[in-house]
Formats: sequence, structure tokens, C-alpha cells
Amino acid sequence: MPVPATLERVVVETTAADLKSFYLKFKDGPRWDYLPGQFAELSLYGYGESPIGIASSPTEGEELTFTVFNTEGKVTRALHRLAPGAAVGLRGPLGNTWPLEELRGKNVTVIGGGFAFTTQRSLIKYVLANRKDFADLTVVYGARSPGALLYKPELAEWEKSPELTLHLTVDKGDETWTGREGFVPTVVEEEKLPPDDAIALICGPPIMIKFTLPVMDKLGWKPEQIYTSLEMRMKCGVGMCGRCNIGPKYVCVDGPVFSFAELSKLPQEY
Amino acid sequence: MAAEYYRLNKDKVGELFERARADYDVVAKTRDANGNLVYGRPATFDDVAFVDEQPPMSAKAFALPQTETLVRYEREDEKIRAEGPEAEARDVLLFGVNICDAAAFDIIDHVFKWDYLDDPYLGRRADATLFALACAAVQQDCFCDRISYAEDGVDTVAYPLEGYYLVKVQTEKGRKLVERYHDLFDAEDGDAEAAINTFREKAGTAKKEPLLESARAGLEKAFEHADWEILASTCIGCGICTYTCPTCHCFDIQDEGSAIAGRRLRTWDHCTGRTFTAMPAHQPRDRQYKRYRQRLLHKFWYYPERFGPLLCTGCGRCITYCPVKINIKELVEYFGGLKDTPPGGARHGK
Repeated sequence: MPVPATLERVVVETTAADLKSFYLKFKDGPRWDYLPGQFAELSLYGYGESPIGIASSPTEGEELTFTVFNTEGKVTRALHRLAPGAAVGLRGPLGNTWPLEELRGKNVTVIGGGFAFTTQRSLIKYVLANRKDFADLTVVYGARSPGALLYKPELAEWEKSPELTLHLTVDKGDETWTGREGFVPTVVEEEKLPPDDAIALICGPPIMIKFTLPVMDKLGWKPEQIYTSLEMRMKCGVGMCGRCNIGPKYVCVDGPVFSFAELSKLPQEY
Repeated sequence: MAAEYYRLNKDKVGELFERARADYDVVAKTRDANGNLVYGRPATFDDVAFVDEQPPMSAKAFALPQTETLVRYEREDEKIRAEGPEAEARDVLLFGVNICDAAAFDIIDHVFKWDYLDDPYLGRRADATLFALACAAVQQDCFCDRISYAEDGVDTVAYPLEGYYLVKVQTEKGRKLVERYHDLFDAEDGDAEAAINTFREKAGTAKKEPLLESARAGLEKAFEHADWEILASTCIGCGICTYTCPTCHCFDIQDEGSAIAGRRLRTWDHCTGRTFTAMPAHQPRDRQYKRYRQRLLHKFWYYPERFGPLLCTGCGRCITYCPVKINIKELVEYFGGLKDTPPGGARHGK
């Protein structure tokens, strides 16, 4: 059964207002223990539940953040209409995490595109809060347009920060955009992101991943060094309802994070 | 526990049913108003169909109801009252259930307890005693002779022999049943297993090689087989195979009512439907043959890899009731490499 939470505040992330971040606080009892990469079922009685990646980091305090795209489905549409103070249910934390043990002491390379960036944000915040446990942190993040970039105030901070290297890009800039234009795979190629002693976490639209992987292969990355987080239709989130599987793996419990070495052994159905 | 064997005289079955009704919520096969065979709650033994004929619907609904309430909710402003249904404590006796239906529970138990303990399912399961009746003859499309599923989890199995039922007791729950009505049962002192084997040979339910378990190695290499598209595209995604199946357990969760009051319910769902995996911007199973392939591989590869047993008891309902005559056994044999020619061979130009 979902546990009750209160919507503390809402941040409209994109100029199209199709993505909003929801900051939730548990009504009874303390916040969950969770780790970057996990997700939760957001529950609105009368509408249903939606599996959403947790965008906050456990290092950040009592609130849990979910950045939700309004798909015009029942649940996300209703969520987008909520105002602070609203009651929301939470079921979780669900699924596995970004490979934190493997990342420890290594160079961390984050490659994100579009609104799949949410649990990568969680990981970036986690690395920044435990900075000495990791070597270099490099982030490539792209969106269609400047207005479609998530977490803009934070991106501005990260651009100036000595703690990480951020390569921001948009497919097409506008009159205010002074940064880079171009697709994520091109940036990865131009920056020659090095595979040495590194783990990459890639998330984004299938087309971005499809064109980035060959570039990484050319740069010397091995499938076991590259992780992604999969999105599948889910209902129960606890390995029973039977719809999120890829072969014998339940994405909701065995995933959503998999390395490409693991994925290559599964039926190509995702 | 080690199996125990008893004799139950054929004229004592009615008395067993009547007396069990005092202690159990007894479910048995019966005819509904339309004359269809169903698992129901007949009031007297006269209404019980203590026969091996298979009802169109399996017995799975007694552990996994077609629809059940998970939560009832009420909202007043931002105050929400949500309550799960009260657990119904009742001992159910499935009396005269087919072995293929009875054995299914042990198979699907795995998925309801491997990661998360599904209390509603597991509670109903713990409260149910299975008193199965072995088939004296194979049914229309069944193939339990080709699957080595364990009957060990079936509490008791009654084999109809000449003049009496040989009752094999395999679990503590089964033993409790026999002990409760011990005056109806006699000790079996003959070679019970030999008698059972002879019975199975005669009934046509003795195991036959190659068992479908042996298709798995082939199936693991057949995901990209070009013939899925030819052989499984006739599927119309109606879902009758999954609804009648004793082991299909996939479900949907939906809210019924409004944001003010209503219930969250769990309801049977089916992988052959288009919406099962459709997401706003992505659909991993975008063609019908991929959805059928999922059903077959889930049963004969994914589930056994994960949990051990095949997700199938060979009841054959999915063959009998398929409106386009897809035959899962033949497809497993073909894609699993047990047979070289596809079902319907020439028809598909092979």
C-alpha cells in the first residue's frame, strides 16, 4: 500500500511546461533510505500509479524529488495539475541502483539526453556530496532546445564548478543560447571521452543511445563499462505482474540499471 | 513428508464431501445454469460433478481472483483514508480438482514470494487444501504427459481404480484432511506406486519423452527465429489462452471510482494484448507475434530459468479455446528444436 506524502513545492522545469519537478515529504515517519538509480510508484487514488525515477539524492535532505513528463496519461496529467499541499502516495524505493560499488574510486562519466536525465541528476548530486570517493566526474547533457534542459539553475552552478566537467549541448539553440549546438553522440566523439578507469552511465532516447554506443566503442569503451537505465511499462514494481521483463529479467527488480554486457545476453526486446 | 496411501471406497465419496462441508468452504466441479462445467460451491453431493472432465476455466481464481480489491480509499480535502480488505480466514477444500489445475498453484507460488510476499495470494494459498482427482483418460488437447511438473505439492490425489479410489497423501494439509475423516479411509497395503503407474499407462497420462522441458536449450537460441512472424502472427490477441490458463498470473492494477472515493483493484491481464507493454513513446512488443512469443517463452524459458518449473501444466485449454487454432505444444516442439517441421508444415510453405 502506498505511504502518504505531501507535495511541498512544484518547479516547472521546461518552457513547454511539460516537465515539472515535484518535491514530496513523507507525512508520517522519516524519509526512505534509497540510492541513486532507484524509482518509486507515484500514486494518486482515482487515477492510478506511475513508476518514476527518483531525481533527488539521499544526500539532499528530507524531500524526495520526481521530475515527471506529462505524457497525457491518467496519472501524469493529474500530477501536473496538483498544487502544493496535495496528498500523493509513494510506493518504494524500487529497483536496483546505479553501480555505486563499481563507480567507487573510478572516473564517472554521465551521458544524458532529454528528460531521462533525472536519476542521473541523483547520481551527480551523490558523487558531489561524496566527492573524495570518486575520481573525475564528467557530464554530457543534451536537450532539443535550451528551454528543454532540466535543472537549469543547477546546470549553471555545475558549469562554474571545479568539481566536475560539464558539456552542455542543445540540438538547436535560440537567440539567448551561447553554448554548444549538436547531438550528444557528436559531443562524446569531439570530447573523446576516455574509457580509462571509467564507468559510463548513459540515459536518453533510444536514438541517442543507438548513435552514441558506436562512438564509445571506437573510443575503446567496453560493454561492461557502460550502464543504462531502462524504461518499461510497469504496474506492481515488485516482480509479479509480468509486463516489464526482458527475457528472464524483471526490469522492476533486477533493473532498471543494466550494463550493456548484461543486456547483450538478453533477448533484444526493449 | 513421505507419501502415504489410503483407500477410499467409491460409495464413501459423497459422505466425505458432505462431512467436509462442515469444516471447509468446499469448492467442487458442478454444472451452472447453462449446463457448463465450472468450479463452484454445490450445496449437495448430487450437484457435484466428481468426474475428470476439465472445466473451461481453471481453478486459479481461488488463489488469484479475476478481480480483487487491494485498497479502498476515501478522500476529504487532502485527508485520505485508505484501507486494505480484511483477510478472510477460511479453509477452502478444492474437492475433485483436476491435477493440471491443482499442480498449477505450486508453480505460480514462486512469483508471489520471490521478491515481495503477496499476502492476499499467499494467505488464500495457505488456507486451501487440494483434493485432486486423477484423469482416467486424456482430455481433448491436453499434454501433461509431456511435462514433468511435480505433483508433490498437490496435497492429495485420488486415482480411480477398480472399486475404490487410491488416495495418495503428499503434504501435512492432505494428512490433516484424511485424519479428520479417518473412518472413511482404509489403509492401502498393496504396491500403491505400481498401481498408480499402471493406471497412468492405461489413462495415457504416463510421461512420454521428449518432455517439453528439453526444448529450453533450443528456445534460448530461437528468439530471433524468422518463423515466429509466420507462425504466431495469426494470434488475434484475444487473451482467452491466458484467462483459461491455470498458470498465467500476470495482472493489471487499476483504480475504479473517482478521486473522492473508490478502490484500487488487481485484475487479470494478458501479455497478448497490445496495451500490455505500450508506453507513451515506446512499445517493446510492437507486433502481435512478439506478444505471442513472450507468452510462449515466458512459460518455457524465462519462468523455468528463474524459478525451476515450466509455467505450464499441459492442460491444453489454450489449444482448445484458441479461435485461430494456435497450438503451443507444437510451437514449443518446433522452436525448441524437438521437431524439424513447423506445425501446419505445407500450409506455411515449408
